Amino acid sequence: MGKANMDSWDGFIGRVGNTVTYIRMGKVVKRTIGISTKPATKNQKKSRQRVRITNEFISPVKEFINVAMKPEGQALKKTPNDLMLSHTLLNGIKGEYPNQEIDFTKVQFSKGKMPKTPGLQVSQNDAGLEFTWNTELIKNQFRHDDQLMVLVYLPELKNAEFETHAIKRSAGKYQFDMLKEDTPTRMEIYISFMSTDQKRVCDSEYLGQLILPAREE
Amino acid sequence: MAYHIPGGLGEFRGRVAGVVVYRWRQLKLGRSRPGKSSRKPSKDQKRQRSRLGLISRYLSKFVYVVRDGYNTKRMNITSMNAAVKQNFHTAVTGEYPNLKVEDALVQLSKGTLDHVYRPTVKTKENGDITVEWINPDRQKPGVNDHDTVHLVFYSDALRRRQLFYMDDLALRKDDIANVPDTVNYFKGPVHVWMFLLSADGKRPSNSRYLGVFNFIKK
Repeated sequence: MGKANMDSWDGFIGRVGNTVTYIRMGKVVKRTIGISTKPATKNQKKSRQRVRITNEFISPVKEFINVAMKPEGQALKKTPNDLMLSHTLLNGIKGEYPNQEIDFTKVQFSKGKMPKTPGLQVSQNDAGLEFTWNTELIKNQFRHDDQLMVLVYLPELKNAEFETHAIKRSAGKYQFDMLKEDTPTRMEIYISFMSTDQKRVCDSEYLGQLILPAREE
Repeated sequence: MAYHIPGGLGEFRGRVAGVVVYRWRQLKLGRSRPGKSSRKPSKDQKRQRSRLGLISRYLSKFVYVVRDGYNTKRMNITSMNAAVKQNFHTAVTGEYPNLKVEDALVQLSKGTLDHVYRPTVKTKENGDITVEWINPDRQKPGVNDHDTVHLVFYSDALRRRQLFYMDDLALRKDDIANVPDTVNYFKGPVHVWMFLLSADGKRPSNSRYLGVFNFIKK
């Protein structure tokens, strides 16, 4: 895929033969278009499976990454979906074709230059999850009104529960209620912080895996 | 026979020799004239045709449901074709020639709108039917209290179809929908599905199968 600088580019937009040219996020993009009738090679099948499972993985968290990846996306002139897809494809998949799967310890749901918050912890209680963290501020990096972002991924349900503006950093703890399902449910837990103006965000932190017990009648 | 529609540009529609020209949505399409093959179908062809026929016939009963449940305005495909494509591999079970449609696996809508928690069908002793669900305290972006709840009741016990589709009974915020008595008079086991649709009618949720029930006649 070729990209050109908008300032120096004055060509055509549209389809020519098996290529198509268009402007996306302020950049001119030229790529091939059309369906190949050739049988896919093993590497193509492997790559297609990676893209498929990554897209399925991203689908339930689109609203979350639209907030969490936005600052980084604006800086790099990419969409939040581009960033998430790219990072997951490169780092977040384990196993060999055809048994490739998401590696939940390595995926990231937010990306930015804010430093990591020390003392992040999660514990489970009857109502759901309780998060705690160190509220000490780092000058010019942390503010007391930074917003906590919580994401709980439920792989078996192909769903996610999240909060993009949960509570201020100064609170030090946050109760995240979870509704129980009919069967025990695996939860992959992530946490991050974002400034109130939504311009600075830290990399999401993986806090481990917990099991949400089944509900009692 | 092809005919010419007069106008600024004009166009042909119909059959010209072996080609049929027609217009669908904004597209002008031409395809070769349909014809029967004299060759006998292979086993794979029979299997494929059988699956396609089975799921198409099944979904044809839900045409109004599918129109709401599959929003394909931005795709060059009809709602029914999208529904058949979705259910072709997932809802048909068994090996040819003993194929059957698994009601619990049929998806009558597909979309990214968030569903509600634990929707359940409840019947009272006097025969009243309600569908109840739980709204979580947290609402995801894009979710609205005024999303409409769509309920589908279907029974295949009679040769004539028994289908009841309700799209204006309740909103997401209501937590409950009271089902009209009509459903009580369905013969045989009744299958129930539920999905939500945004107020503008553009964003559906995935449909959820609520189970099969034998309702009490009033």
